[in-house]
Amino acid sequence: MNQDLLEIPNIEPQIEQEQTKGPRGIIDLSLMKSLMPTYQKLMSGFHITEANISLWQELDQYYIQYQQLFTGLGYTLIKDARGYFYFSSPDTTVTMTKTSRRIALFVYTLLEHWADRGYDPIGALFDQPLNKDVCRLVYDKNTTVFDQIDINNASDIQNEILKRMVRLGFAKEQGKEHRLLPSCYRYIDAVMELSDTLNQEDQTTDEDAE
Amino acid sequence: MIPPKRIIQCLHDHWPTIQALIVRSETGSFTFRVLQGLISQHNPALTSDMAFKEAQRIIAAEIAIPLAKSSELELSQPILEFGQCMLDEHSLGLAEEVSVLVDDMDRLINKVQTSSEERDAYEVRRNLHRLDDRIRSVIKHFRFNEVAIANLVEEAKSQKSSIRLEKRYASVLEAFDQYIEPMLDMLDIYGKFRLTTDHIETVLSQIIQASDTTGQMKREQHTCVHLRTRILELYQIGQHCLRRSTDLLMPLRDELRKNTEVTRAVSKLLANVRKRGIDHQVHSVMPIISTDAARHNLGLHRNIVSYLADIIELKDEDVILPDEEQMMPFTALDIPEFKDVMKSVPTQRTSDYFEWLKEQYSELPADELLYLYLQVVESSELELTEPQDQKEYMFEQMKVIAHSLGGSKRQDSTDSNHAPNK
Repeated sequence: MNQDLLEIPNIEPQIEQEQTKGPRGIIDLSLMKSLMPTYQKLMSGFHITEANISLWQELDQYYIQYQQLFTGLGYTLIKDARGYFYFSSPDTTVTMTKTSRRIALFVYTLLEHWADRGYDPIGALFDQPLNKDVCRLVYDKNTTVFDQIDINNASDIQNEILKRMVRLGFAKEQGKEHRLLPSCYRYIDAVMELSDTLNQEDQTTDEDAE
Repeated sequence: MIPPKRIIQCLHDHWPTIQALIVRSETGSFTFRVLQGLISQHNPALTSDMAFKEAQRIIAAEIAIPLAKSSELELSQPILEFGQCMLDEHSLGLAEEVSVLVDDMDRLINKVQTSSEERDAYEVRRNLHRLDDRIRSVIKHFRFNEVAIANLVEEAKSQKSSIRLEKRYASVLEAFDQYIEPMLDMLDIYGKFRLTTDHIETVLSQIIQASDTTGQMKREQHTCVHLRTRILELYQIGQHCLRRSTDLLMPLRDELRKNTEVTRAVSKLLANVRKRGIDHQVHSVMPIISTDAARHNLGLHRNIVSYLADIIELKDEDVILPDEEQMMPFTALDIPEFKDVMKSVPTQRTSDYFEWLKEQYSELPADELLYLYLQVVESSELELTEPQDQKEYMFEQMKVIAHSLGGSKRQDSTDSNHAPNK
């Protein structure tokens, strides 16, 4: 048997068959040229977006095979239609929770900032470059929020949050500026989910009081 | 008069209920039924009779007071102010309030100046205290109004987008026109506020200088220095608070802000984080990011949960003391007196004193024996030979390595400088 062919007998692909390249249930490793860097990146919590064009293209093209292979290895590969892949995990460490919380609040304060400036917030979130000035403005307007996540000045945003975002595939560096990547939609989805919960709580409180 | 302790105890017992009443204080009065309902809601263990009694207790403590000619209740003003201060739930004051206070400050500083010229220390002191009180009130107004504006803005930002823009921003526009603009005029460089603070600063400086020259009113001078610092700070605080409030209001007033479902949700979340802290707000739905290295390490959420679960079940083992009969009676070590040891040291030549001690006091532990050996060889009664090579002495649980020292008892007592090397 060809060594590059690995048989995974019991895994049914979840997505429609027509997207699959190659025979059902057979993974052709020779097609997955970037398997190793892809695995290493995903394993480190990285979100693969179009900023990593070669990895992204290959993942997009052979998504089913990658998904089968990773499922067999005990990982859950998630593909979001807005253009990013990541490993989903039900469990995380305390440090990672803290990082995620910091990223979340930074993304939310940015959305607020662009909305206040009259931009379409989501469009500006991804299109507008992030530089020192923006970080300073956002920090000055939200000191009480940043204090709670141990960010004590505007340069901390760049050093602590943006660097970590780059490392996790939520942002990319462009010279001295940064740009956010579509993987930030994970945080936008989260706030929408939370908003529904808060609204329900408000309604319940109002009804109870009446 | 109701004892303050009773009021504080009642506040402590029913804080969640009172907090709910403070938050909805703008909606006006409430009925006894609502109060009872809130108590039951926050204390599910209480029966309806008990909730009734607790509601009566709140009224008896005059935390909630009945409205005149009505069966409705309202929170008493001091409790409402205290609660609003605790919860940052201020309502926007009027620019006129600050204006009146500034006028009063002007009046008081004139009085201080007159009293100072008349060398009336008592009057100077009294008016300085009143002036200090007014300055504190102005600072309090600035701070409270800033919080109130932030609350207004947050509310306007997070309201449903289906509400018409004019209606949604009505409170914001009102705040801008009735507070920010008059305040901007007042804080203007040629405005009333600046003129008054400058005047106060000049008068205080004059009093301080006069006190330095004449040596009179030293006690008042100290208060003047404090007050001058506070007045300088006051102008700064006023400007900062106003600038921040304007920054918050401007995007809404100019209808610059884009409102979408996302920004509404974000504003609501950030407002909650600012007021109630981050802990209970964002944790539940945050995207989980995990690395493979971390997944196989300790410190995961589930590790901590299982650890805590183990701690809950952890019980100290019961300490069982042995029966007295089974216990060996405590016996003190029979350590020989040094004098007795020296008496028993043989007068003839001994090749190794340590060996000799070991034989004589075989029941002694090694450390005691070594101590005794040190004392013996340092004794001036012995004449020691040159130290021999290192030798090993075996004990039950240890091995002692020492230079063996021998010698004989000398007839006349002279000091010996020999010491053993261990």
